[in-house]
Amino acid sequence: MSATRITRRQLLVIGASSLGLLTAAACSSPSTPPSPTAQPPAATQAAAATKAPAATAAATAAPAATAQPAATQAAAQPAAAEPAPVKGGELVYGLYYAPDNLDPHVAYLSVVQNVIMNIFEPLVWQGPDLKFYPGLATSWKTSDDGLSWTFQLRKDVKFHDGTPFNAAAVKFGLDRIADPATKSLGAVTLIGKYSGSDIVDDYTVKINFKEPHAAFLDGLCQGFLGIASPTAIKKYGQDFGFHPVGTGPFVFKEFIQNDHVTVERNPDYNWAPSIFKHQGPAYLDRIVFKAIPESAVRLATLETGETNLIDDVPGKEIGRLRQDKRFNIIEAAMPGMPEQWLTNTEKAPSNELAVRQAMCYAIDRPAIIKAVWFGVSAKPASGPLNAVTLGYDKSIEALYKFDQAKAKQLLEDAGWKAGADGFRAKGGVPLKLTTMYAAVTWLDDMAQVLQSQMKQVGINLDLQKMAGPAKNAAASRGEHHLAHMSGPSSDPNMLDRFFNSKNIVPNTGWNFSRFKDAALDDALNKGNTEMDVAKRLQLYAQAQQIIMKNVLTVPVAEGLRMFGTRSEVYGVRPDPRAFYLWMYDAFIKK
Amino acid sequence: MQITVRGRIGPASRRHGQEGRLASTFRRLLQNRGATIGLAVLSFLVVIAVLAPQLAPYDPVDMVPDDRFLLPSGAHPLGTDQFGRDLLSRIMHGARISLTVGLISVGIAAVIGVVLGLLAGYYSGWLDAVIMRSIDVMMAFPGILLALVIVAVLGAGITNVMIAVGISSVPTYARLTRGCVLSAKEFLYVDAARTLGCRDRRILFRHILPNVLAPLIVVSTLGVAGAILSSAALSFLGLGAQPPSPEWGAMLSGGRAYLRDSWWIATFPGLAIMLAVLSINMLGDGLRDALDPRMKV
Repeated sequence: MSATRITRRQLLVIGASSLGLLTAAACSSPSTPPSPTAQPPAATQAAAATKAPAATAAATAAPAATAQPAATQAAAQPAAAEPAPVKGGELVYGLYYAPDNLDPHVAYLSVVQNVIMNIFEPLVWQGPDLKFYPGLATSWKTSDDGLSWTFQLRKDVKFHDGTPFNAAAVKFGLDRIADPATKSLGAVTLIGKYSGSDIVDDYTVKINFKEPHAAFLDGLCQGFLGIASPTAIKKYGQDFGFHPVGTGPFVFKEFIQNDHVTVERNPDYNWAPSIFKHQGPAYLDRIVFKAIPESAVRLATLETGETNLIDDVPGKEIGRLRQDKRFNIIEAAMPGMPEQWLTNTEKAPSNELAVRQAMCYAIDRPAIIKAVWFGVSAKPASGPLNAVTLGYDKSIEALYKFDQAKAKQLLEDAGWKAGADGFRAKGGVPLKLTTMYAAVTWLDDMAQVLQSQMKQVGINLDLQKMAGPAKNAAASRGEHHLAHMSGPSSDPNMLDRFFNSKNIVPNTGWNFSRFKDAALDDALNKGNTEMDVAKRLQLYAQAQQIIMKNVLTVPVAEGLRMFGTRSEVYGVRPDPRAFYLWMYDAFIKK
Repeated sequence: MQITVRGRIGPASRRHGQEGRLASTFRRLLQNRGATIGLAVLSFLVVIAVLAPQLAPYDPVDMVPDDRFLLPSGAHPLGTDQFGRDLLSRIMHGARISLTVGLISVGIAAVIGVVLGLLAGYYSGWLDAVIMRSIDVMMAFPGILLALVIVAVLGAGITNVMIAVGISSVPTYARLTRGCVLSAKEFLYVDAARTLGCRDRRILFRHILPNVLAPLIVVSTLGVAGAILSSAALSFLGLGAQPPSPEWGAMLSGGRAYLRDSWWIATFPGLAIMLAVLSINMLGDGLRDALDPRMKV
């Protein structure tokens, strides 16, 4: 009863308040998330489920031919004992954003992985214990020079279209990703300097690189390197993203853009990796992925039962849902880059180090977290990586502490004098910074709080809400002073993409800081190829220090992802990166 | 005597006659209850807009983290938003933005549209064809869509919204003016003026324009309401006023995420938009009736 009332009340309020604007609201297209693997705001209690950074650091020291990302696993499954699984039922999953293309080799939106990890499978899985487990590959080894990896493959696997899975399929997929004609956006960033694959025999493939690719296993276990049916790719060509065929526990059924994707159980599935809790076909008959970008609406659908699982419950509602027996919250920490503002080091006035440093001192992170994440969730970020990421360097935490007086002093010393309106100027040039971000409500909130904090030390932020891709393009051309960026990644090599000067490329590059420094480039280049884990992490520690000493980014907060489920949903677990949810073990029992 | 005679044929007399018409129009307007209410509410909003800095109890952009999501109360009659900013103060300051945007957009639309309509209607021929076909092309796009495109090209911001909304409503004024001019130019006073040797410009702006003004006034008034709504819609989409400026549409958009249990954040800006648009529409309807020649006794 209360559920229906909520919807009606919402409708009434919307109707009364927006009048003719309803039409406008209806055509308000969801703004594209900012980063290549954009994630929504995370929010929640940083409670028991949060991981201790110290513990993860220890984990990273583990010897590793399987380089071990010290990703965190926060999966806080409800403590209640799970009933015996039952077969059948439909799970309706409200996604925070609409998948645009289900071709794993082409897609780049993080949300896409939620769907494709059910249709496709990787060669290797990363378990909740952060170790790598056999998937479609049963074992693997690297050559002594680190230039090639040899994988033994399962022999009992068939794609949904009947095509047998073998070494040729693996080679076909990797070659396709590396081919510029494929226009791969996500997968291509995971395969390093791939130089080709050799089919040793039907079920043995040797993958070669021009230089050692230290993070290869980490890339392999992501959805973008899922193995696709070569037959189907040849048949559908560029339309493969709308007719995906893989080996996963669910078979693609339907894709209505900006509305939903439906997948159905693969009855022949019998090759589940050992990280899952059962073998054989999945329990669920069907999963419907509905795109519901509006967070309040998404939550309302969970409460009315229209969906029984949703992405990213608004922080404001977490406490209430935790109290309510009808719902559960699944909480997951995310390795990768925090919510941050990349600074343009070329364009005046953010080209002045003092201005950038002043921003770092002027930012009151707990206040932003309180305003945007309702204080219950994210924790302050200190650098370009979340504390739970492999290779996080704790020493940068001491660099900048909230200190408005120091910020003002820095600006004062650099010649920026406060005017009548409180904003500073130097020689008639106002201290006004163009601040670009994707037009998403919570980002808008974060930008506005930051704007008010910067105003207190005399920095004027000119906020520019844009469509996500437009923002990225403008920032890649250096038209910004500050540009929002965040992105999950389990490996620190993502720093390369955002801070290596070779990635300063108008319209397509991701280096928005435009900072050219030989030492930084060197550390990032070597980090990509160093196969010795300890040495590799040392390189990334150096990189983080250079980045923060030069303030190439103003980090704000590290978030947690909060998934909401109805209590009849069991067995759903987030992957160690909190990118997506494992649905294979999921079942519904009312 | 002489003065009276000269007055009858001279410009002074005509002006005098017009004043009489204005006065009677205004009298008839006040007899219309809807128009009176509209005028009263609108005047009230104008006063608030003008005096916002003096009347508003708080700074409209001042964030108070401890006062977030406060229900309407004595201290904050309309509550506070997600940043602890006082909604009443924001709505009062927002009135300035919305009314300014409404007036300037209509100003842009009316000036361009009326000139184009006058030229097209008066000269006919190829000029008419060129102007009106261009107008037809513009009319092929829904107004809000055209405005969206223009803002997308010019970039987000309240100034560009005014330009966009203005340009997108040019066709209305151009077509209306042209229609009126087509009939007006057949009247004898136009022939008379031409016979007396008046130039086209004088005939257009001194003789024809005043005689086609009545419907334009009505449409412009209603247009202000439409422009306020359009600019609110664009701001709602994030293309209009940029934070922290308290534009009503942007406030509506920002509060939407909290609609579930902080209904006031989106509701009051919405009501403000409704109030402004409704009052202007009521006034416009009243004006139409008052200016309608058939209503004259």
